[in-house]
Amino acid sequence: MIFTMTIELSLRVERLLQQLLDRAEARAVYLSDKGGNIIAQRTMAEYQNEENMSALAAGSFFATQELARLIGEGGFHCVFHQGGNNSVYMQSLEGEMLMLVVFDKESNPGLVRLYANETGRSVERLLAEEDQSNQGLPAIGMEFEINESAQPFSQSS
Amino acid sequence: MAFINFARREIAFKIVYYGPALCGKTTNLEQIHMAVDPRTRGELTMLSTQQDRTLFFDFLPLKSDVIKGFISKFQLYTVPGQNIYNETRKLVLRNVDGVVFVADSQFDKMEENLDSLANLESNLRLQNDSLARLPYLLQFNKRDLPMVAPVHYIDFLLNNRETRVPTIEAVSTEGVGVFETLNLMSKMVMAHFMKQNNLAGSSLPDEVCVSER
Ligand SMILES: Nc1nc2c(ncn2[C@@H]2O[C@H](COP(=O)(O)OP(=O)(O)OP(=O)(O)O)[C@@H](O)[C@H]2O)c(=O)[nH]1
Ligand SMILES: [Mg+2]
Repeated sequence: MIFTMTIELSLRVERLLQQLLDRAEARAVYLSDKGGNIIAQRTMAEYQNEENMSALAAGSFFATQELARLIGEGGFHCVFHQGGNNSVYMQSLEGEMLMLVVFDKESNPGLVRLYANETGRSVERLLAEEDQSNQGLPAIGMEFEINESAQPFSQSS
Repeated sequence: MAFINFARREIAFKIVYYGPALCGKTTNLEQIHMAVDPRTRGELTMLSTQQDRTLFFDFLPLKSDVIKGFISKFQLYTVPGQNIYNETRKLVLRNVDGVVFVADSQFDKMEENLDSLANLESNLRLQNDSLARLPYLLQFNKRDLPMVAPVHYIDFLLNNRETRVPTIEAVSTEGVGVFETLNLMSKMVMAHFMKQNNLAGSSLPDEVCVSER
């Protein structure tokens, strides 16, 4: 199985994320899949280890989903982690996607949540449309050329 | 589930190191982090208890240029080997593209190896996957210890499925076999990805998108 993000879809998703970033005055917005891959993002601040952030967000969010299930709840729709200066808001989307919003004390958590909800729904619609238009497309290949001469990874000397 | 982003020219694969408690999964990632070309690695995140036992997972993102014109990302995860953490093992396995099964070579660990492999299979089944469809290999770790089982015996126990998979002997604390494992796994994952999607040889414009399993 392979999930593909076309240039077109990427632009449309990122436009939505940018809107959220602006309206909520957030630091960063990421969309990830359930495996923790960043699918799209818009950021104000530079974060060094975005992939680690995304892996941790996905892990912790889906762990709370399991917790919800164990206490007889279908799942938690969203999770807030509030810090002194920086906070994160996570929200699940259809198709087991996760939206992560990083914001600081300049933002209002209530508004972050409100705008994130709206954006979440738009992203869901967009991905659902894409899913349908994709159905039945044959898996004809793209040109992928593997660099046979080298190992994928080498030890530094 | 591999992930391609044409806007960013990125392909991402998820590799999970699986195996019984204390077999050396975390040690593999630590060795890779320590020895790999620093330009190709990100930060090593470890979620462990005070006793260095993995509690949730370890995570190490790597980048390679093996696929021309793309950044190939390999996201390495370990699972916690202790029995009680099965829920978190299931979470870490989500969307996996390839598994390195790290076996502990010591004689008295054979039952734990078998249990862990069975546990892997049942967790894969829960996400409609299976070892028959997923690239995986066996690493026989801790070959430096005195009471280790012969390789052919471990192989007989763990590698007796329809398709035999590659095996690699390792002393992961010393880095022996660690890169061999990583490179072989990476290639297996890429080969599988190409084959599943009939990718090699034909061409398709960037804008066109593919395909579900
Ligand atoms: N002698 C020897 N010791 C090893 C080797 N590989 C790992 N160890 C040791 O075994 C112990 C456990 O290693 P870890 O890498 O933490 O094991 P793990 O599989 O991550 O364990 P969990 O997180 O509990 O599942 C450590 O003390 C390591 O130093 C090896 O090849 N030889
Ligand atoms: Mg560990």
